[in-house]
Amino acid sequence: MNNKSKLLVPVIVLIAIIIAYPFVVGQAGYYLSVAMKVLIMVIFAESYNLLLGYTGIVSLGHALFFGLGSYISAILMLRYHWNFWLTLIPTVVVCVLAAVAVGLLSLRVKAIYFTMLTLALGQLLFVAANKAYNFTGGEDGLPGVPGLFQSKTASYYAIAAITIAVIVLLRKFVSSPTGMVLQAIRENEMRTKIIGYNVLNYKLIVLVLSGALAGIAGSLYVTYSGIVYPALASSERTMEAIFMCVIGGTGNLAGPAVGAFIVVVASTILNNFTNRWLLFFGIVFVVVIMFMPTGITGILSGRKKKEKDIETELVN
Amino acid sequence: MSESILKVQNIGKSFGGTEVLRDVSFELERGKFKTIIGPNGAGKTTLFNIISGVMKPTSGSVFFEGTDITGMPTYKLAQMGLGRSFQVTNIFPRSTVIENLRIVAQAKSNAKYQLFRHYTTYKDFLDLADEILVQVKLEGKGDRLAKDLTHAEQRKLEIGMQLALNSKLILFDEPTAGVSAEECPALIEVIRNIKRTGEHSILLIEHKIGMIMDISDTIAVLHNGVLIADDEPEIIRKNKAVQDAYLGGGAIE
Ligand SMILES: Nc1ncnc2c1ncn2[C@@H]1O[C@H](COP(=O)(O)OP(=O)(O)O)[C@@H](O)[C@H]1O
Ligand SMILES: [Mg+2]
Repeated sequence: MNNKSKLLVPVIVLIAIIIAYPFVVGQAGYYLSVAMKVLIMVIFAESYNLLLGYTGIVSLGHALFFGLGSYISAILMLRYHWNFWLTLIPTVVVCVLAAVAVGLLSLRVKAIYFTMLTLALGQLLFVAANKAYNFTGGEDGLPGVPGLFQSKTASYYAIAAITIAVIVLLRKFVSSPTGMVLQAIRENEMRTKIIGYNVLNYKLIVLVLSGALAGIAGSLYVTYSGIVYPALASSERTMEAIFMCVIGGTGNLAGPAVGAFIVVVASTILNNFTNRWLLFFGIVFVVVIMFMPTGITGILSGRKKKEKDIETELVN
Repeated sequence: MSESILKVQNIGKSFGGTEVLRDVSFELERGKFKTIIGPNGAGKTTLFNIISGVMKPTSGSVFFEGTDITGMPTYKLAQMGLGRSFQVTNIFPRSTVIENLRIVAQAKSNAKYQLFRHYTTYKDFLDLADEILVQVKLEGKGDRLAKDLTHAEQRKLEIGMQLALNSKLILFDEPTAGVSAEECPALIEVIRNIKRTGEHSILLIEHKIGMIMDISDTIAVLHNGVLIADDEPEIIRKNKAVQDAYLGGGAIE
């Protein structure tokens, strides 16, 4: 309860900013685009956070799901003239099936196999997207993907609403009995088994949810970018997810959102100077891991905790 | 004779070429308390690992309530009513003490796969966790992170987690490991109370045999991977082979 009331003000402020944003930046499409990208990447980062931050499993193939969503939506819209919202159904279905397949193939054995298999499968889609020229447009991709709505502002609001809905859903999920088991797995997997939890089932659940959300993020992304291309399924996408989580902080919902904001805004600015921005993030990443392993949100909440400790010390 | 809750049959275990357990057999009757003693490296923890499904035996079988459970996954054994604690503290370090107990209490309920209801709406688990906190003498420590407890407190938490699991058969692996002499009696007292409820069968590994003589219905002695005796405490005390192999070896504390 206490926690809730503490969050109320920042959440209201944040939602007010999101609503007011188009009025502030006007019809200037550029700023609206950046905001849309931030919102979409928040979903992608949160989906990765479920694995890395909440369950403690390392996937190197998260781009697979993002790429699946991107290609499924783009191809269905461009080649078969589907309505975007309908394309979300096959996106979710395919991502769920892919997650179950990846999970059953690799989760039974050591964690490292899962990590390696996700890496391999992630590359598979990247390669297929490159080679299946007739279908995917190969390296050049498929341009001309329509936006969500005619009006960019309307698209922005729709994406904002989806992102907020995802956060609300995840907030419920991570503090559900299942969410608590995931955190137990992260803390001590062997112990979680010995007290009676079928850890494989829980990992499948989180993999499915994470994969479906990453797929939805990928689907939304092509309506923002207007084009689908192999890089959307490349391992750079996965690196981005890792950057966003680690820089913002994992294991809470605010961290990856903050991370997504920083990574998208910074890469947009850096893109004006260099297309080697990933290298820049690589350096930031190393610095973060070395000096602030809990990420930005971890540092902020850590400082609050220290103040509290000092307070209680003074009281005693 | 009452039905045995646990039957260990001709268990053998080798790591590579090293034989750690040889032809170990014993039974535990329902509601009884058996202590396993034996010097370090005798194979006691390995035996627990095999009974609790953490390891598979090289040979032999384990029966729980008449069912062959050899090689069954640990989570299934826990669901069936077989719980164990660890010699090396094995808790959820960055969770609160209450959460360590609550997550255990939740494990056997239908709520364990609930996806969107807040975990605190299941009050029973929290209430049970609160009760256990008192039973294991950790009152007021519920909001601490488990990793911030003292070693002795963490041992109490380990025992509390067994209470939360409420298993028919509980295996305690040296609950007093690494605990100072002054703090041991409190831990043994908690175990004594568990026995007193009469609802659990208990298998205990313990070095400090002075403290467990009176709570044990039977004592089994493991020496170099072989069970050399299994009898009532008084008989074990007088057993010549036991005295030579273990009691006389200066290993008693
Ligand atoms: N996983 C393992 N791999 C190899 N050797 C092991 C393993 N676990 C235990 N051992 C060996 O088995 C023997 C018995 O160990 P353990 O069961 O821990 O004894 P105790 O609990 O009676 O002190 C020891 O010699 C130990 O080194
Ligand atoms: Mg041992």
